[in-house]
Amino acid sequence: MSAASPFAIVALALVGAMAVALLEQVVAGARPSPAGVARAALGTLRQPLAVPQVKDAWLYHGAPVLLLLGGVLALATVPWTPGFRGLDFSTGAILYSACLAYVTPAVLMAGWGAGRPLQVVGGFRFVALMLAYEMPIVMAVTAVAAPAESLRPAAIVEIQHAVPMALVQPLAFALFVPAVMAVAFIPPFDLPQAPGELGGGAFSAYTGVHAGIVSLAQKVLVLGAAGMTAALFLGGWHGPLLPDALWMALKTAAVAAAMLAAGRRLPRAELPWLLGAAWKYAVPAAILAIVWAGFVSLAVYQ
Amino acid sequence: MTPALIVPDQSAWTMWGHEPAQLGLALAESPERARQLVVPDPVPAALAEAVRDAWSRMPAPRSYVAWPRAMDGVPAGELLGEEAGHGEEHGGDGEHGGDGEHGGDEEHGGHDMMAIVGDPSADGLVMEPIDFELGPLATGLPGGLVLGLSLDGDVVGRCAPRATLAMSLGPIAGGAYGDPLAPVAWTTAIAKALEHAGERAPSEATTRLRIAAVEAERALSHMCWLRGFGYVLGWAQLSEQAHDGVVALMAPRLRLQEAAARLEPAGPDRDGLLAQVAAAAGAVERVRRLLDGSRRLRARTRGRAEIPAERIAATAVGGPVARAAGLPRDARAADPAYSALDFTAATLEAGDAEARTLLRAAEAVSALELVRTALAQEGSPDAGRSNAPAEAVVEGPRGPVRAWHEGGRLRVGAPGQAELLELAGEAVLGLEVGRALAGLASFDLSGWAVSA
Amino acid sequence: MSGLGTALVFWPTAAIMLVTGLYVFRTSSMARAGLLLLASLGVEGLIFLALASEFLGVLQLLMMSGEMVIMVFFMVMFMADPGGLMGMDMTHDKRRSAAAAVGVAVALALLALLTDWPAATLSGEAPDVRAIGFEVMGRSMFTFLFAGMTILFAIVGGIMLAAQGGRLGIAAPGDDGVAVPPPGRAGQHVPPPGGEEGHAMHGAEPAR
Repeated sequence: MSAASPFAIVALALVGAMAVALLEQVVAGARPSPAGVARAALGTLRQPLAVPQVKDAWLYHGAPVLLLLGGVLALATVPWTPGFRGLDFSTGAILYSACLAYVTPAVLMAGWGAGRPLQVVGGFRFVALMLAYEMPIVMAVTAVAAPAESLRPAAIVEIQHAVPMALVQPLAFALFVPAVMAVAFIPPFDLPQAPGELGGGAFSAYTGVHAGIVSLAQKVLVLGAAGMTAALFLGGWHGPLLPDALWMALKTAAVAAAMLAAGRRLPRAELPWLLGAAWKYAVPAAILAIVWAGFVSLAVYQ
Repeated sequence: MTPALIVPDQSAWTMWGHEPAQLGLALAESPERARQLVVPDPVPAALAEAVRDAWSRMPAPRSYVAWPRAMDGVPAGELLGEEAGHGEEHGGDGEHGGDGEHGGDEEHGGHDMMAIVGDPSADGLVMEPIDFELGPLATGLPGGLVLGLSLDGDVVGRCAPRATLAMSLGPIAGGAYGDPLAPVAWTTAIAKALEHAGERAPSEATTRLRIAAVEAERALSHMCWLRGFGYVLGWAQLSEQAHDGVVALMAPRLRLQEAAARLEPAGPDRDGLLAQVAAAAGAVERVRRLLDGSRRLRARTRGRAEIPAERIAATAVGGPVARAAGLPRDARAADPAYSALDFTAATLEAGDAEARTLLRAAEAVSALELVRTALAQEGSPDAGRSNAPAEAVVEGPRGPVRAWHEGGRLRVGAPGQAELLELAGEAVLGLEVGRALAGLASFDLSGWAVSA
Repeated sequence: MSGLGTALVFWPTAAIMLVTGLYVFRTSSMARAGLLLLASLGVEGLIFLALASEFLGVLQLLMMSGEMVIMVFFMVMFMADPGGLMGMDMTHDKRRSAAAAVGVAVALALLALLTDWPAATLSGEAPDVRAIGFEVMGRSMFTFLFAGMTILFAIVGGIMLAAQGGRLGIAAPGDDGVAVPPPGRAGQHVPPPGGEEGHAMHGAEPAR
C-alpha cells in the first residue's frame, strides 16, 4: 500500500458515492443529473446543525463519523485492479466484514443518541438484525476463500480467471448479496430508517453536516458492497478485451444498479420475518455453502 | 423535487384538487429533512401546535407555502410568522412527548438500583413500556390521526387511534360539505335527503351523473390510499404506479364533480372526458394487476391486522373493511340506479390487510367501469322520474354516508367511523411496530371526524 | 513491522485502551459504558495487527463490535436507568473490588515482565492464519466443537423457552404458545424504600 493510497481511497469514495447517487436516479426513472445531486448535497451541508434536545450528545455526534469510517475502511479492502488493491491485507476478506461490523454500533449510537421512541426503535432494530446477516457474510466469504486457499481478496479474484465464483457457488452468492444490502440498510432492508413507519427512524434527527455524512456513508457502503460482490463472486477485473479497471467498474455498477432496482420493486422486509428467515434458513444455508465450498475445493480446484 | 412536509397529508390535498407532486414537492420523511412546509390557510386548530413544532424542527433554509382553504383555524401567517425563530424544541409532530419515554422516571432518589415493579410482560420480565402519541402529522399516518401508543419494546401493547380534525357540517365557501376527503359522497347524500324531503325525484340523467361523480371520487380515494400504503410498506413500485393512477384521475374526477354540482350533463366534450376516464382506467388496472396474487403483497399483509367477521358484524362499520371480512354491507346494492348499471357488490373473506388492499384495488377498477357505463348511457336527459331509494345513503370510499331529517334539521353522518378507529386499534395489538403501522394503514382511516 | 513502528502503535493504543476502560466505570449511561468498552477492546485489535497477528487482530475487531452491542442491548433491557440521567454509580463493593483489581494487575504485570517470551521477527504471508488453522483442526478441534455445540444449544434452547405465547402473549400466526392477556401498564418505576431525594428530570440534561 503506497503513500498515495489513502487519498486514492477517499477520492474513490467521493466519486463512487456520486455514481451511486446517479444510479439511484436512473433506477427511479429520472434523468441522471450530477448537478442535481451536487445541489442537493450542498443544500444539506449548508443547513445549520440544529442539535435538538438529544439525550446523549457524544453518541449523537459520534455516530455519523463511525458510520463513515466503517464504510470507507470497508471500501478500502476491495481490490479494484491488480495495480490498485487498497488495503491489501492477507486477511482482507475478514477485514471487510470487520469494518462492516461497525455499522451496527453506529446505527445504535444514532438512534440512542437522538433519544425519541421511534428513533431508539430504529437503532435497536438494527442491533437485532446484526447477527442475522453478519454470519451469512462471514460464512459466504469463508466459502469463497476456501477454494482460493487465501483470505486475500486479490487472491480470490485471481482464482476466478476461468469461472466466476457466482457460478461455482451460487448458494454463497445468494446469501452474500442480500446480506451486504442489509448492512448498507438500503431498501428493501431500510429498517432502521423506515420512512413511512418510523418517519426516518434512527437518522431522522440529523441535519446539516451530520445528515450529509450519513447519506455519504450509506452510498459508500453500497459502493463497497457492490465492489466486493464483483470481486469475490463475479471475477473482479477478469474479462476479455476491455482493460481491468473498466471491467471492474462495469461489474460494480451492474451489481449496484441491481441492488437499487431490487429496492424499488420489493416492499420493506419486516423485522420478525427477517429475523426468522436469517436464523432459520440463512445460517444453515451458509453452513451448507461452506460444505459445498469444501467439496468444490477438493474436487475442482486442486 | 423539494422534500416537503405536507399538512395535513398528501392525499388530502390531492382530494382537494392540488397534487403536491405535480408542483415539485416530494414527501419528506421527517421535519428535519423538509425544505418546505405546505399548510392550509387557515391551519385547523387541532394541528396548530404540531405545525409549530414541525416548523421549529425544520432546518434553515426553510420556507412555507400557505394554500387557502376554507376551514376554521388559525391563520397561517399568525402561526408561522416568526421566521428564523427559535421555536420550542419540545415534543414534535412525530412523537408528542419526548417526555413520554420517561413515563415512569420522575422523582427518584439517588439510589443506584431502582426496582421496576408491575405486571410482567408476556415473556415473564417486568419491563417499562414506552408511552407516547404518534401524530397528527406523522408520515405514514393519515393527517390528523393521533395514535396513543404504548410499546412493550417494539411490540404494540396498546393502540388508541383518534381523529382530531373536525369536519364542518354546514355549507362553507366553495360548497364543501362534511368530509374533506370524500366531499362528493357527502354532498350527494345531502342532495338526496333534500329531494327526499321535498318529495322530488331527480332525473335519470342527474342520478347517473351523481353516480359517476361518486365512483370517480371512490377511485381517486383508493388510488391515493394505495399510494400512501405503498409508502408505508416501503414499496416504491406500488407508490409509483398508484401515483400514475392518481394523476390520471384528477382531471376527470374534477370535471365530474363540477358537473354533478351544477346538475348539468357532462358538457360538450363528453368524448374527451370518456377518453380521460379510459386512460385512468388503464393506470388503475395496472395497479390491480401488480397487486393481484402478488407474493410481495402477501408477504406483508396476509394475516395481519385481521378482524373476525363476527366482531365487525356487532358494529355499524361498513365500507371496504366490512366487505373484506365477508359482510356484504354496501349501500349501492340497495340502490336501483346502480342495479341499472349492472353493479355487483364484491366481498372477500379473509378480513386481513391483504383482503382490504385487494378489495380496494378491485373496487377502484369497477368504479371506473361504472363511470364509463354511466357516462355512456347519458344520452337521454330528463328521461322522466326514477325511483328514489327509501333513505338518503351514499356509499363513500370509506363507508356509507347517511343524511336524514331530524327535528326539522338536516343531519349527516358516517355511521361506523368511530367504531372503525376502535377496531383498528384492537387489530394491531401484539404486533411489532412496523407490522402494526402497516396493518393500521390498511384500514384507510381518516383523521377527520364529525364533531359532537 | 519494524520495532519503532510496532512501538508507535502499541503504546498509544495501550493508553487508549486503559483510558476508555477507565471511563467505562466513570460514566453512568449504559450505552456509553458498553460503547466505551467496545472502543477499548476494539482498539486492541490494532495491537494484534501491529504484532503481526493479522488474523487475531481482524477477528478481535469483528467480534468485539457484535459482542459489545449485544451487551449494550441487555444492559439497556435490564438496568433501571439506561440513559444514565440519574447519575447512577457504576461501582459496587468498592473496597474488595479495588483490592482484587490491584492484586490481579500486579500479578499480570509480574507475569508479563518476568516471563521469558520467545521473540521472533515475522514477515511475509501472515503465517498465523495457517498456524491457527492447523491448531483448530488438530489439537483444539474437540474444544472448539464442544464449545460451539454448547453455545448453539444455549441459543436455541433460550429462544424456545422465551418464544412461548407470542411476543405480547397474543399468539401470532405460527406460534404454538398459550395466549396470555396483555398487561395494562406493564412496568412502573418505584423508588426504593428509604432515601428519596432528587427531582424530576425531564430529559433536559444530557448524560454525563
